[in-house]
Amino acid sequence: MARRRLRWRGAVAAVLVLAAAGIWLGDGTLMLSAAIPLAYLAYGSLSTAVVPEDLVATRRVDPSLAPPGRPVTIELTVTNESDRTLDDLRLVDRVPEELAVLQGSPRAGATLAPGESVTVEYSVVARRGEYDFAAPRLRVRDTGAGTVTTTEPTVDGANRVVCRLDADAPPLADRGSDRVGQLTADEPGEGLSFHSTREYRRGDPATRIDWRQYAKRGHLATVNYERWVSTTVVLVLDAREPARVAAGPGRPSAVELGAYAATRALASLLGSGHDVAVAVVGVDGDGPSGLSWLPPGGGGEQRSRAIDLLGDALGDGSGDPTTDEASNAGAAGADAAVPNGSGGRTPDDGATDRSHDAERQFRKVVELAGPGSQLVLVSPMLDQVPVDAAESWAAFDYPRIVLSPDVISANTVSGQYEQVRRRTRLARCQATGARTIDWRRGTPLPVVLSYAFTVAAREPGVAAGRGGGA
Amino acid sequence: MSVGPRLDTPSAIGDEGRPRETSLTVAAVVVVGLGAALGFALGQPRFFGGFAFLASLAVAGVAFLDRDRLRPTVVGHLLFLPASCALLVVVSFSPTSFVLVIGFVAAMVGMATAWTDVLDRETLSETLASSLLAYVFGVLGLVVVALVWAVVWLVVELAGSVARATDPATALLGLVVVGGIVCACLAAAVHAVPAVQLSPVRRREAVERRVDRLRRRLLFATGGAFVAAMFGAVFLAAGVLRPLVSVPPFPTLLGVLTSRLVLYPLLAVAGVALLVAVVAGLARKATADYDAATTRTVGAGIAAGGYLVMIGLLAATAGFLPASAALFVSVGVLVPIGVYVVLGALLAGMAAGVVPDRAGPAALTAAGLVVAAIGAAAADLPPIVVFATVAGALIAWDVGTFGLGLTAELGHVPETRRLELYHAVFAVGVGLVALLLVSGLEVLRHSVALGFGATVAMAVAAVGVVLLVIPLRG
Repeated sequence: MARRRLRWRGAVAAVLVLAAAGIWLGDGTLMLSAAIPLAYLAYGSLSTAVVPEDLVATRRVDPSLAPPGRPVTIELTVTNESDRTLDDLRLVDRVPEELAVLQGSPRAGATLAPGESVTVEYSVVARRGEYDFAAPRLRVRDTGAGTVTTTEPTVDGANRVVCRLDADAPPLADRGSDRVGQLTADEPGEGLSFHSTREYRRGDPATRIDWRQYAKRGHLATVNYERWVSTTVVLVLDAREPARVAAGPGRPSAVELGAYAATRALASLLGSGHDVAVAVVGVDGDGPSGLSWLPPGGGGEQRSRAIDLLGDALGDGSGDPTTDEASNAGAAGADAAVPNGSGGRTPDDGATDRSHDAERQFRKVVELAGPGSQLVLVSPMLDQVPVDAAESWAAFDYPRIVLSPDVISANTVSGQYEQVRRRTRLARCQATGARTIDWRRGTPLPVVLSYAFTVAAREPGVAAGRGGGA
Repeated sequence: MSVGPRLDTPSAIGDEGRPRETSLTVAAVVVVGLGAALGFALGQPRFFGGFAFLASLAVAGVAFLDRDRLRPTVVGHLLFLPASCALLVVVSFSPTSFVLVIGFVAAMVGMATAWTDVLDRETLSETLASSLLAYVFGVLGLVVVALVWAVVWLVVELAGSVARATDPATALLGLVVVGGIVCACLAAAVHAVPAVQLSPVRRREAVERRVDRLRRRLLFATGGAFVAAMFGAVFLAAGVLRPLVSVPPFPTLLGVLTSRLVLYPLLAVAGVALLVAVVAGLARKATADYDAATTRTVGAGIAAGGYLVMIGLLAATAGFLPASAALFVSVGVLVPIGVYVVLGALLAGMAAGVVPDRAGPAALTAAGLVVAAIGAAAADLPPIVVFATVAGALIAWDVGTFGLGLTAELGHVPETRRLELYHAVFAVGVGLVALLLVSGLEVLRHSVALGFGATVAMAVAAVGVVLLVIPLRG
C-alpha cells in the first residue's frame, strides 16, 4: 500500500517566507519566486509509486549444506519483468537474526528499467541448525521520493541456510578399509612399511625374504613390516559454560566448532577402522557420574549415535553462545562466570559446583577409556580446567591430542591478552606430551588436520610409535 | 604524504548521518554555481571566495575538535575560533547586502557540515565546551602575560636602580636581594626538573643525593639572602651599615658587582630557571594521568598559547601604537563571544526542533539560499538570479534529504550512484522548468508595466498561494 511522506514541509516554509518577504519589501520578484517551491510541492504530490506485478525475486544459497563456521554466500536477484521503469527501488533481504553478515550487504538501491535486475550478494557465517529467510522487503518510490510503496515478494530458489556438524565429513565405506586400523604398533609383523629384518626361519613366506641382503652377504633374512592395528579413540568435547562463547555476534560458538571438529574426526577414524567413543563434559548425561558418554564402537550406527550425542550437547544448556559482551570480545578467561544483571563477573557457588562436576567428569573419562585408548580433547582452552585434565591424563600414560578451535578476536588489547593466555595453555598441554592442534580462525578444519598430521609424520619416531590415526 | 591530521579518515567521516557522495556533490555544485552567479551579478565574480575559505576552515576546525587525539584537537582549536571570528567580522562589516551575505554564508556552512557530518547536537556541544575552555585559557594567559610583563619590568627597574645606586650600602642590599631572587629561581628549577628520573638507573642514588644537597644549599642561600637583606635594612636605618661598607675596597668591589654587566646576566639566569621550572611542572602535571579529559585540557592550553601568539602578531602588525594594539586585543577578546552566541543559538534551535536533527545540513543550506535570495532581491540584483537562488535552495534540499534517506535505509556499503543521479536529474529538471516559467511570468509582469495595484494583486495572489499550500503540504 502506498504511503505519502511529509517530505516537502521545508518547501511550504519557503513559500510562506518568500511571500511574506515579498509583501514586506513590496517586491514582486520575491512573490513570484514563491511559485518555485510550489512547483516542487506539486511534483511531490502528483507523482505515484506503484509496485508492478511482474517483479521476480530469486535467491541462491551456496553451499546449501555447510558445516559450522563456513561462510555461506547468499545471492538475491530482483528482476523487473514489467514494461515500466522503477524509478527508485530499494531492496533489503531479511537475514535470519541468528546469523551474522560476514561480507557484503543485504541491501541495495537501484533504478530498474524493464528487463533489468538488481542483485545483492553477501556472505554469512554458518551456525548449526536450519535458518529460514523471511520474504525480502522491497520499497518503490516515485521520482519525487514523496510516495513509497512497500511489498514483500515471494522468492524463488533457496530460502534456507542448513548447517550440520557432518556436512562435509567423508562418507563411511560399506565395508571398512582392507587394513585393520591405520595405526602402527611397536611389534613388527605383516604390513606395508619396512620395520626391520631378522634371521630367516623355516616357514617364512618367500615374499618377505630380503633378497638384496642375500645377494650381498649370502645369507637369508626375513623383512619385518610395521604392523597395522586398530585402537580405541575417545573424543572428549568440552561443552562447559566457559566454552560457550563465540568470536562475535552470529558466529558459531566454540562448542559448535568443537562438535564439528569431533564429527569430522569421528568420520575419519571410523573410516580407518578404529573404534570411537564420545564423551561430552559439562552437560548432564545418562552415563556414569552424569557424564554424557557413548561407549566405543564402530560402523555407521556408531557414527549416527555419536552425531546425535554431540547434537544433544549443543542443544542442552543451549549451544547458543553467551551474549555477555566481555565473552564475545574474547575476554573469557579462567574467571569467567555466569553473567549477572550488572553485566559483571562474580564467581558464585553454582559456578564452583559446576567446575567440580567438570573435573569429576574429566576423571571419569579416563576410567571409562580403558587400556590402549587414545584421548582427543576438543576444547577452546579458555580456562585452566582442560589444561588440568590433560595434565592428569598424562599420569595414566594415555596418548593425547588436544584440538583447540580459536574463537578469540585478537583485534583488541584484551583479545590479544586472552590469545596469549590460550597459547600458553596449549604450550602447557604440549609440555605434558600431548600433541596440540591450534585450529586458527578462518582456516578450514581439513587443512588444519592434514597439516598437523603431516608435520607429525615427519617428526622422528612417530611412525613407529603411538599417536595419530585420525 | 599529508601534513597534519587528515580530515577524511574513515573513522571520522560520518556513517548514517552523511548523505551519499553523489547527492552531496550535486548539492555542492549547485551552491558553488550560485555563488559564482551572485558574484557576477554583484560585479565581483570571486566575491564569496573569501567567505567560503573562512567558512570551510571553521567547519574543518569543528570536525577536528570532534576527534580524541591531541594533534587534531590543537589543529581544530587553531582553525575553528580564529576562522569563525574572522568570518563574523567580515560578514558584519561586508559592504554588500547583509542579508545576502549572511544567507549565502549559512548555505556554505551547511554544505561544509554535510560533507564532514558535524551538524549534530553532540558535536556542536563538544565544540562549544572545548572552544570556551581554550578561550578562557587564552584570556587567563593574557592576564598572566601582563602580570609577567609587569614583574619583569619591576625586576629590571630594581636591577637598574641597584646598578645606578651611588651609595655602597644600598647597592649591597640590592645585590643581596637580587642574589636571593636568583637562588630562589634556581631552587625552583632544581625541584621541578626530573633530573633523578632522567638519570641512568645505576647512578640514580648518587644523583638524588646531589640534587638534594644542591636544593638544600640553594634554599639556605635564598633564606639567608632575604634574612641578610632584612637585617641589612635594619642596620642601614640604624646608620651602622654605611660606615662599614664605605671602607675601601668595598665601594669599588660593590661597584663592579652591582654593574649591569653582572646583574643582568644573573637575572637572565633566574628568568631561564623560572621558565624551566614552570614548563617542567606543567609537563609533569599534564602527563600524570593522561586520558580523554587531559587531552582536551592540554589541547585547549596549547591552543590558547597559539591564540596569544596570533593576537600578539596582529597587535604588532596593527602598529606599535599602544592604543591600536589595545584595540586589537580587546577585539580579539570580544569577538569570540559573538561566535559563541551564534553557536549557542544554533544549539538552541536544534533543541527546539527548529533545525532538524538528521537533515540539519540540508536544512541550513536551503534556508541560507532562501535568505540569500531575499537579500539578492533587496540588493536589486537581476530577477533571474533571485529565481535561480530559490530553485537552488529547493534542489539542495531535495538531493540532500534524498541522500540522507538513502544512507539511513541502505547504509554506506551499497553502490547507489545511478539511483542518486537519476533523482538529481529530475530535481534539477523541475527546478529549471519552474525557473523558466517564473522568469517568463516576470518578463510578462514587467512588459505589461504593472503599477502599484499590481503589488496589491500579487499580495492577494500570494495569500491564495498560501491557502493552496495548506491541502498540499508536501
